[in-house]
Formats: sequence, C-alpha cells, structure tokens
Amino acid sequence: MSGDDVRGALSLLLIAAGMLFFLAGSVGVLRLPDLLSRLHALTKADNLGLGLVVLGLMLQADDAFEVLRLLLVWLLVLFASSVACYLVARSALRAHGDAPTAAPEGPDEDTRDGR
Amino acid sequence: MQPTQHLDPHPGKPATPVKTATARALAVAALLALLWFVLAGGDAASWIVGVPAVAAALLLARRVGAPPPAWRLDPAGALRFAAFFVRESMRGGIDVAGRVSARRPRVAPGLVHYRWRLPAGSPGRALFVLCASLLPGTLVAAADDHEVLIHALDATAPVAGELAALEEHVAALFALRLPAPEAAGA
Repeated sequence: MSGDDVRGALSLLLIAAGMLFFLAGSVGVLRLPDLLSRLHALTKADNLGLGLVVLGLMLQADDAFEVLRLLLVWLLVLFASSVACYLVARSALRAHGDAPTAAPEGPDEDTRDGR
Repeated sequence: MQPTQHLDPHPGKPATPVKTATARALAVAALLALLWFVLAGGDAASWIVGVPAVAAALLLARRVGAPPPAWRLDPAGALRFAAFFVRESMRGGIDVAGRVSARRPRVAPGLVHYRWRLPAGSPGRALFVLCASLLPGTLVAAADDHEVLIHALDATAPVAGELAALEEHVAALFALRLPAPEAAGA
C-alpha cells in the first residue's frame, strides 16, 4: 500500500465524515422545535461538516496554492453563515419578542409527530 | 491594480484627512484583489467578475460606517485563537449532532444575557459575535453597547463560562486586556 493510497483513503474518510455532519444539520432543521434552535443545527453542524470536507479535499490538492484556496473557501463560508445566522436570529427576535415557533420554510408540524 | 481606479470618483468626507482615507481604501482594495486572486486561481478572465466585486465590496465597506480604531494582532494570541476555534468547532458540531439525533432532541432553548468585557468599538466584538454562533450551544441573537443576547440551545449548560473563554481568546488575539476576570461573567 503506497502513501497515495493511504492519503486517498483518509481523504474519502474525512469527506464522508463531513457529509454526516451536513446530514446531522439537516436532521436538526427538521427535528428541532423553533427557528432559533434550528439555526444552531445549521451553523454548527455545517461548520464542522464543511471543515471536514475541505480537509479531505486538501489531501487531494495538487499544490499549496489549492490548499490555501480551500482554506479560504471554508473561512468565507463560515463568515457568511455566521453573519446570516446573526441577521436571521435578530430579525426573528424582533418580530416575535421571544423564541418564535414559526418555521421559515419546509415541513415542521408533520415531522414532529414522532415525539 | 485595476480595482483602484474605482476609488477616485468617491473622495472621503471633506472633514477627514483625505490622504489616510485614500491610503486605507487602497490597502483594502489590494487585500480584496489578493483574496479574489487566490479564490479564482489567477485566471485572467475571472477579473471580469472580480473587479466589479472588489469595487462593490469597497463601496459597501464605506457605507457600513466608520473604520475601527487602531488595533493590532498578537501572533501568539492568533495561533492560540486558531487552535481554540478549531477545537470549539469540532465540539460544537459533535454536540449539536448528538443532540438532534437523540430519540427525543435534547434541547432546552433559552435566552441568556451576557455583559461585554471586550472594550466598546474594538474589532474584537465583531469577531466575538461571529465566533459565538459557532461555539457549542450558543448563538448571538442581538448585541448592543453593554451586552449580547445569547440564544442557548441548552440554557441549563454553563453558557457564561464558554463565552468568557471565547472572549479571553479574542482579547488575546487583539492583544487586549479584559477587566474584572470573573466578576462580570454572570
């Protein structure tokens, strides 16, 4: 087994793990009770998920420049998601006073009958 | 560099020293252009999008408000902050994944007030707000001059301690000193 094989396997493993966290984030959006709690699932799970995917892709990068670019993509997405999260949370809080129960979109009532 | 020519038709406020404002804008433009260069991979044709994007970012930055007061980065603090950020990102992701995949989601959402220890007007506050949403179980819902309103996924967890740790790391990054280590945590 060559070093390239190990690297490829590790890369796939990291990407798969990242996908799991994306899945967890989406599950959170479906299962959590209110808008602000759902934001938690999205920001944190996707931060780690994308981080792992980026790390996996870095292992396949051709040169240092590409590694740098991937890192930059991760940071920019984090920045955007954190800012968006703050803006959504702030406007939700202003509109509803306290923790709102209305979902922005997608299924909510029907997926919650499992509890 | 191309982006700089977009600056000239928009002189700064007459009262401010125009020279430093221009120098600042040039530095920001160069930084943004570098960012684009890295992202686009040096493809010459990409500047068709890149130049307008840099110009738009510059104009937006002007509109957002006064530039932050002078600040400096502490290299050792920055390294420790990066390590802290990676560690907390992992904790945050694993924590929330575990909570939502339990048979019954383990959440007890609630709002927590947290009093600022970072000085007003410091760029550290913005960084704190950005990062707090990535910390395990916390999310910034509002911020004013005196405090931040935190939404906690589990309000029974020791949220204030986590936030204090983040605040200390942000302060170290900017080589700031925080007042009253423990007293302000409540």
